[in-house]
Amino acid sequence: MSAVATATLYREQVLAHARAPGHSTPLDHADARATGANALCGDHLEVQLALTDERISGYAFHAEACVLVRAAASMLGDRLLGLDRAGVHAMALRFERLLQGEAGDTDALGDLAVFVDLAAHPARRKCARLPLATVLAALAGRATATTEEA
Amino acid sequence: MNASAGTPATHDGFDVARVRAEFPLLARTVHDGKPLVYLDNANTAQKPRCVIEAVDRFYRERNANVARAVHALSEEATDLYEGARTALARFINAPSAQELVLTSGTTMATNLVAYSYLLPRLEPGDSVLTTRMEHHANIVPWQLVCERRGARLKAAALEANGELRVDEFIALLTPEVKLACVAHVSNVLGTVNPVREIAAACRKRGIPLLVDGSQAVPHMPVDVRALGCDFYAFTGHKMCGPTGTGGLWARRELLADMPPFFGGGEMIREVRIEGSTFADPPARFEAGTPNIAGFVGLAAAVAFLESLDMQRIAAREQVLLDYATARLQEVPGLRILGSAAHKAAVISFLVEGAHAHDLATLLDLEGVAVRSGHHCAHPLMQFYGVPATCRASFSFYNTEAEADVLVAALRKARKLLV
Repeated sequence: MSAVATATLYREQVLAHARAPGHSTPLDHADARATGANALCGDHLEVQLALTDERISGYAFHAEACVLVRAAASMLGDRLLGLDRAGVHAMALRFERLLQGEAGDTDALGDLAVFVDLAAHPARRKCARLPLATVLAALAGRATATTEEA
Repeated sequence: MNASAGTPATHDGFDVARVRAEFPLLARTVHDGKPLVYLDNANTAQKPRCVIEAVDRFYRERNANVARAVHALSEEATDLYEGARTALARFINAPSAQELVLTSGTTMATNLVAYSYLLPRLEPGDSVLTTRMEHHANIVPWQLVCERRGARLKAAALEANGELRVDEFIALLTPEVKLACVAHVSNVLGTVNPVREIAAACRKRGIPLLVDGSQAVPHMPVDVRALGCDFYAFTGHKMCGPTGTGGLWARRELLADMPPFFGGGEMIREVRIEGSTFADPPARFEAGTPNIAGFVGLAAAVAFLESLDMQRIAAREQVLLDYATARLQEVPGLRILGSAAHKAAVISFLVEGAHAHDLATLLDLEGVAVRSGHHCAHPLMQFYGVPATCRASFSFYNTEAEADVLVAALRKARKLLV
């Protein structure tokens, strides 16, 4: 794996989101919620969504997890508002291509594009995947999500 | 930096630099030219040149199947394979090589006992006793068999310092217990369990005891006769041997009374469509072509360990454990799980405010290989109420200088994360 990519995995942008995550104030009212858990890692994430006309109008999370999960969950919140389920699916596909190191349109991913560094770190991709997988579970009415089999 | 720099050349006759030179992989670098500091020995150990060469030589010069053909190569291969059995049996002081079943590792050994010994004997209401500190290989096989029979798995608790509550274990040895199981050494905490005392209590009650020796055989002299247990399982790759090797030692009378688990070639006496008769132990439990080259390599590993002397290896690793423990305790916010009075050189730790995986990734960036996660011991993690730990596990080829690199890397990671 590339030493440069490895060294940048914990860049300041990621650490800043993990230290002081946005979207961490619980919603007064949640229309959907799900728990993301990677038991092998010991990562635990709870996601709340508010929905207006089937579009996400509010998002909050609480994580007891590694830096990558916390940062991804925080960065994700900045891109979710206004999206419907199809929009979140499209974002998840784009994010997956990014994790695989494929060049593509990363503008729609915002800060999440920083996780291109994980192309060189397959063992940690499941961490960055967990927040999106948990949001998709909440939208699908599933209570739990995991990215450990991925 | 040379990881062995600053280390005295010898410790009680143990020449660390010379020993390290026997392990080609220890000379490599990782990320950006950082010298590898390999502290994941409880996961798997590195291989000395003699093991690598023994496997290589076997395939170049002697490859044949065992116990089948009468040609010269097959006889040589059979001699080497049976020679490995003899060497391993001697290494753990088994009364006879015929009491040693060669397996793919500890997991296959415990499963063999579960399905061949335990399953036919287990009845509804029976139980199997284990402890909270076990590797999943010493939990899950018993659970699977218990579920089939309506039996129950129970587990003795630990003290906060990671020692087994031996009195509780013994109190749980009630008449419905059909098998008791304990790790010789915990893979997470390093706790060395008082197997002799436990075995004596089991024997008194007529309950057979299985000992998981995966983390003991590579690090201390093991004498199954002195321990007084009934089954002893171990794995080859943690003792400098190839992966896919290991063994189950069992008392002759227990093996003799166990039906086959895997069926196939090598383990039969006569096969008719109406029914078959089976070979005597240990061949009865070794269906199919075994990992012949692997066991040839494992025999070389045994010779290597014997040349270093297991007493000296144990003493050297105690010095490393004491040094690394003291150095790690200097790191702010670091908590070591497990401080048993009798402990092997395995150190599990947490750093307040830092997730174990983040620490492990950042240590890796500095060239330090540790394991992070639950270490295949979920019940133990639940006991401590933590999701994951970092684990630095040492071998005789590690150095004080490497412990220093670990501590420096932890300080650097902590600055970033906390």
